[in-house]
Amino acid sequence: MKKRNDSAQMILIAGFAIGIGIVVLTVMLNNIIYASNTASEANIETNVFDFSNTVKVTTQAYEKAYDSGSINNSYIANYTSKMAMSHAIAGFIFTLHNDSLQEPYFTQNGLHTGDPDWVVVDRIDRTDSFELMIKTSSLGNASKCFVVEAINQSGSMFWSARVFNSSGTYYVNVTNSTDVLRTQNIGSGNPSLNITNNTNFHFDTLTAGKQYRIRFINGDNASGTFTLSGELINGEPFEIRRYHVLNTTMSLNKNGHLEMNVTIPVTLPRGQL
Amino acid sequence: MATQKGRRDPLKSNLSAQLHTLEALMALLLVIGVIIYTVQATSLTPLTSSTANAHIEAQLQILGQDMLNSLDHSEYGQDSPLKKDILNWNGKYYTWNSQQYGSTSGENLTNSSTAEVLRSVAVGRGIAHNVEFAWIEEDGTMRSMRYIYNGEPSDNAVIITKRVLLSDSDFPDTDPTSFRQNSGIRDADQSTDLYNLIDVKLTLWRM
Repeated sequence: MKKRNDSAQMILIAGFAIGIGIVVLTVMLNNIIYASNTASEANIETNVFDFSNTVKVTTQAYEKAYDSGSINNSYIANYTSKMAMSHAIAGFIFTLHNDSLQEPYFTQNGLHTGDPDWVVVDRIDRTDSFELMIKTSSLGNASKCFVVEAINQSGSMFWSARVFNSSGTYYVNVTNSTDVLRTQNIGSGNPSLNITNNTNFHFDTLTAGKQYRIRFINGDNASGTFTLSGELINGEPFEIRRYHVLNTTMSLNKNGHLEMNVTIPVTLPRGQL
Repeated sequence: MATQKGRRDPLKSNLSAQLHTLEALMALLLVIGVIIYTVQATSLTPLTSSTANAHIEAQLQILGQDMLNSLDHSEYGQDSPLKKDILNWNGKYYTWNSQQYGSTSGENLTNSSTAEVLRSVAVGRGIAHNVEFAWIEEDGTMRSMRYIYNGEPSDNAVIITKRVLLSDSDFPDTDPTSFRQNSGIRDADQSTDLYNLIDVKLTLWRM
């Protein structure tokens, strides 16, 4: 009788042990299955990488599609088709559409609401061509004048052109770091200011032999176009041409979810990137 | 089976048999536990594709993204180094021979920013790498050609893709004939300036 009671206790203890063992094994297996099915790159911002690439390549497409003041819609349609096929392989649906071309402001992104104070080109060694065409009706008065300035590497301004509206007459003040060198009536409408190869602006003489950057201030108080080209300190050429700005919207869908839907202004035809 | 009257069935009366069964179950659990533990331990090897090397894959992914981002960077209206490399490509593939990237015909890959970056970043860290250029044909099929090839990647390789847009005006004298003949990448749109959309695929893996 005593032996049989001992066996019953053993069976009970063994039963508990087996139960605990099963629970432990289940938890271990569950962990393995869960971990094996977790995306190993889940912590990487792959989407940000893809999205920035999409924005950049689309901007380039609009730059290439811009021709003589208009957008070549066939180019954009074929580009959109190629992008849609390329994204389809990864399970994305790519769509693209744009608004009409607008006259740009001298802000960073070309829109009136863009950053008005910004560096157009940094680390310049030589400027070959710099021309502005300003819509005078958009100009502010002297206290809100549109300023183009050259700044040396230590951050000091050594040349500037201040364009403003004075009771319906439009002027440009050319200065060096301390003095006004010239005040000139620029006319009205859409006058062109050729800053290089023009002794009136003193730009070539004051920038010769210097390394500098060109900056716009109060760009939201003037609209118009500009071209700027030359060579950087590292010997690479630069070229910016801004004749129009255009809002473009691109979106990416995956599994019914909108993964990306951005509208960005693209300044055309060259130099946004 | 019938038993003689007065005698107990030894199978029914032997309580040790139940204990033996339970012992067998516990032994089975122990064996399964050891197997599971062993499987988890062996997944730590560097070339096994599993969550154990996920952090290595994550590192490679970020490294590859950084390399392609720096190669595709351009400013003030200039072409990026990556785009220049594609435009200068002669259609051959190159393999790292411990000193430089050479083709099967003995030609060395020179004047390539992609090769320079891979040499300084990937080669120095012992990271094997391939670079392919892929594009979509008119019939919708994807084709790819090797630019840099160092063998078949392992299971834990990562692929990073960057799209580069080519236009007719990107080529010297806006004439892509030579590029088309060398690379086999055709003009996808002959009615406009658009040439093709290239997927640059960078594959990285640990040796």
